[in-house]
Amino acid sequence: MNQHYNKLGFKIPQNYFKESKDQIINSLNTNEKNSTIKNILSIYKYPIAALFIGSLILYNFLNFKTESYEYDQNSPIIYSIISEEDISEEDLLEYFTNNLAINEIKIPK
Amino acid sequence: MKEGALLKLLKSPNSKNKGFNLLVGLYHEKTYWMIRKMVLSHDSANDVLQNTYIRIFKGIENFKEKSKLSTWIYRIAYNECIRFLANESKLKKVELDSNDDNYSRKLYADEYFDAESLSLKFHQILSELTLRQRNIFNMKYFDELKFSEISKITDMNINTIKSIYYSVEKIIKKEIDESTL
Repeated sequence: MNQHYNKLGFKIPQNYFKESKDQIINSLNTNEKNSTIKNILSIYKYPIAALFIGSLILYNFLNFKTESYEYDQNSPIIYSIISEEDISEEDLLEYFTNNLAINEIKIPK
Repeated sequence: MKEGALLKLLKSPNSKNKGFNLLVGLYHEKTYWMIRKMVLSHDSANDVLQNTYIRIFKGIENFKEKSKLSTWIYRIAYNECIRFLANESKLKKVELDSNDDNYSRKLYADEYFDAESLSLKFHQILSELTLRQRNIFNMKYFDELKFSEISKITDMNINTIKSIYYSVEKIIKKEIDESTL
């Protein structure tokens, strides 16, 4: 820069160049750390996503329950369906007496 | 330190930080003044300076050594200034061939501007120039860059640059002579 430079009347804060150099170096270090994290994330983002999705599928698979119904084998209706035999009135009466009526009748003490 | 040795440090991952420390020490002051003349206020110049060195740090591997390292640095700084001025004026592209209507306002708003009579006269003349004329004049007159370097920085034909510079020099001489009469 030549000697006419001061004609422009620009001033700077005291110790500006010393401080700005440190500021630049510090901002670069921060920037570099951030970009390292970004790089790591960009490299591993797909494996991480795949692992996450895989674990979700595995979790659901392990906890997957097929709905099963347990039938009352003593029920004459069920029995008749399974055995393909006709249901008799006697069987029905016996069943209801044993399983339903007893539960509904309150015997006074 | 020679440019070749500095580049060797910069391009090796193990010594890049050390090399960059040296590079900032060598060039940041001159880069600052170049930026300051374009953006005018100290705070803006400080922001542009930081962005410039972040770009340099990220792009050093792409430096093809087709020009001097300093020329490459000033070119990045110049482009960063243009980007800053475009953002400031909320335009997509800065109009280099028109003059800055806010020149004086920016200058007086800056607490780091010493308004002496001679600098005021100088700035008055500079404010009447187009951005392109002003940049070329500043780079040649104050930063003492060669025409060939200015050509690489601004991506303009060297003869166009020479003709702009000499015409601006003539205008400034005439204005100063008239004011001192």
